[in-house]
Amino acid sequence: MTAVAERTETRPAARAGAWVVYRWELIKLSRQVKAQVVFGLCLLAPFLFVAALNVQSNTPQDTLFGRWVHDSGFSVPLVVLGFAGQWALPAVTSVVAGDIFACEDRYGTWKTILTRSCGRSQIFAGKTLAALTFSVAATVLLGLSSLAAGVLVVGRQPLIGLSGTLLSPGHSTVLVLESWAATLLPVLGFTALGLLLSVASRSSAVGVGGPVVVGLVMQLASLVNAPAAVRALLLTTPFGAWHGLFTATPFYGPLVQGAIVCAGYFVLCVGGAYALLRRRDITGG
Amino acid sequence: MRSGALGRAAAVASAVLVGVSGCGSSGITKARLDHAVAPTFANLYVIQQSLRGRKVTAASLNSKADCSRGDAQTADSGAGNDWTCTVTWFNTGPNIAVNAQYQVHVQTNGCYTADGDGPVDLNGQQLITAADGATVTNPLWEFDGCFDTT
Amino acid sequence: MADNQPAVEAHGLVKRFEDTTAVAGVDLRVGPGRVHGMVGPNGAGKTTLLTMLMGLVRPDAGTIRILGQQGGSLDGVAGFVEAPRFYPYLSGRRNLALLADLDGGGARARIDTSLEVVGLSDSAGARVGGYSVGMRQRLGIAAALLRDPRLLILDEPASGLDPAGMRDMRALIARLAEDGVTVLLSSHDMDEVEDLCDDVTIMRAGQVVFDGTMDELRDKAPDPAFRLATSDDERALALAGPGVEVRAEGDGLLVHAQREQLDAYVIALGRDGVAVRRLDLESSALKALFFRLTESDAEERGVPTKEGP
Repeated sequence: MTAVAERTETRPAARAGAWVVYRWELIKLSRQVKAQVVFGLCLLAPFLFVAALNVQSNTPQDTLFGRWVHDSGFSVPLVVLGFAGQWALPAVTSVVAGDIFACEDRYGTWKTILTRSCGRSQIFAGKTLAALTFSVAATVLLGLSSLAAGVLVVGRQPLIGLSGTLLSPGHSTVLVLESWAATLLPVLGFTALGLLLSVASRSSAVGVGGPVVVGLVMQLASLVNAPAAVRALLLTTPFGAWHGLFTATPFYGPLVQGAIVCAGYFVLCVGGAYALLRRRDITGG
Repeated sequence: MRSGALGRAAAVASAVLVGVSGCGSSGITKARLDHAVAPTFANLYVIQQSLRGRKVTAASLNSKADCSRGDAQTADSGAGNDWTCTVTWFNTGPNIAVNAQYQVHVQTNGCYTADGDGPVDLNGQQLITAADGATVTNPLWEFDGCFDTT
Repeated sequence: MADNQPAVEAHGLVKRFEDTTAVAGVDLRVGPGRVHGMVGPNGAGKTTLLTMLMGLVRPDAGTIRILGQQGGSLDGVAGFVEAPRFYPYLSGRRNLALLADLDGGGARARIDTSLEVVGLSDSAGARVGGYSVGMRQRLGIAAALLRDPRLLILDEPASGLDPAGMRDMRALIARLAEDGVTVLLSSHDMDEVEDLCDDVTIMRAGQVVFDGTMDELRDKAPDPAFRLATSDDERALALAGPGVEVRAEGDGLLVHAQREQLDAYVIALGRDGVAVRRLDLESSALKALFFRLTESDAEERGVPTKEGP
């Protein structure tokens, strides 16, 4: 009788277990220097970027909206977005996602946490959720910070859109926020890729570096005149899906296509990572 | 066992991706570029003229663009920096057509940069003097735009 | 719940890694309230067996029942396999808080007591990264105690400890056993097992070569071995009497004898003018048995495994 009572006492409900893991992952993240550095960079980099632009008359014309950085503050978050999508966002997200499973291998702590009352599924769910939270938080922070940098330093002038029309400050703000929100799709796709590499390789170097390399390779592939079908399948293509929002008659095809592709990457990567972790024999360490 | 699971995942991934690619399509065509450049030019022309103190509306310009790629042998499709566009619009009346030339670099993602190639007064200078005497960016010197390639 | 239900009941466990068979068909039964030792040289499969019991490694064949439960439930089970590991950038107390939260229930309330039991209360606020091996070992025990276990599985609990730490660890395990906790511990040190355990399983090359109580093992034990150096080894060899087995080994003699026979032999040597220059215990009775069981070839094994539970 007492044994039965004890047993129910030491086992948290399944969902509660995942939340406990999630909460602890966030606590652990908040104590790691790399997470603090990433947040600091997301917060400060846009202001440094605007400050650097202000000391020279040249404009980054090879990036969309780059020629308007001195004329409208709303171009700043869009230039940062066009630039960050190239490589910074995959790097920012995988700093945590690529390490969140592999760090248990590095510290040898898989055995420590898997011999408690939380199952592997709960550990996986909690850690995955924490990595996604970090990626979303870092992206939102970078987006809001670059919007703030543009508006505060350059100003709230109307923005010239991609059909040559003037967009009012209010409309521009909404479009900027929508663009950054759309960027979350490929960001989450890259996060999932980082998670998969983290589980599969058991190495932080591969988990963190892998998505960055994949992002660069895909970027290169999209620069050459590849068939439209191949371009559509690249995880980097949705980083440009927001362009359609800034034309006089907005088009949403790239957004829909990007959402499908990102969902595909997400499901495959997270599902693959889960299957690998479920089956894995925890030895060594 | 790990490599086996990865192999399976890769197989499923490529299958799904090939399926998704069915939604992809012809991409960058002359028609799409024509229809993107003409109204964008018109809108920017309105802005330029208002800077110079003249009021026109985009609709009254009835602008058209005729773009082609490379020499006569090159097919007029695909990304590249060898596109040229001739924009035609009606400036002072329905019968007086005006032309402007642009060198256009079209990227694979459907965004393009048009670089003014004459007439000089219209798109040959990066900075122009506004009606109030201020020096401002000439919106027609170079401009960007995007069109749907899906 | 029946009191005589075994804490661990495993049948036909097999685990292969790539090209080696780590565990080749092992049966294991750990009685309730017993301290059960698992001994064997490195590579005998002890750790693999324990990782299977703790659900970290899936057996290729066989069944495991722990505290009457099948299917990898760890309710009432705690312990560590190989050296316990923690997050180096968190303090000892924070590590325990994390693990207690993963356990849920009343585990958090046991943190202070657990730290006290293992004597880490004073250093609980320091980062684990600065802990010594012995402190991490004790933190491992504390982490296990949070679960208020009925079965404690400890892999080489005394490894890396200094002699004083080893003594403390043994005392702690003995105390827990007294409180009714079933303990399954692995060791490569026969003395430690002899000191602590009621039952013992000896493994070699993935198989069980002995399974029984400590007393049963002692009955099987051969005479202890001594290393002897004399002024005249040839005479000494000739003087070996009944119950004394002497053979030349290296640059001295190896003597197998019970203590009484050994005394008589040494006196006889002296009486015969052979001076004894050195006499050391080479290995205790159990150690001698252990070596015989784990180092010899199969046909020399000679000791049958206990039949049935």
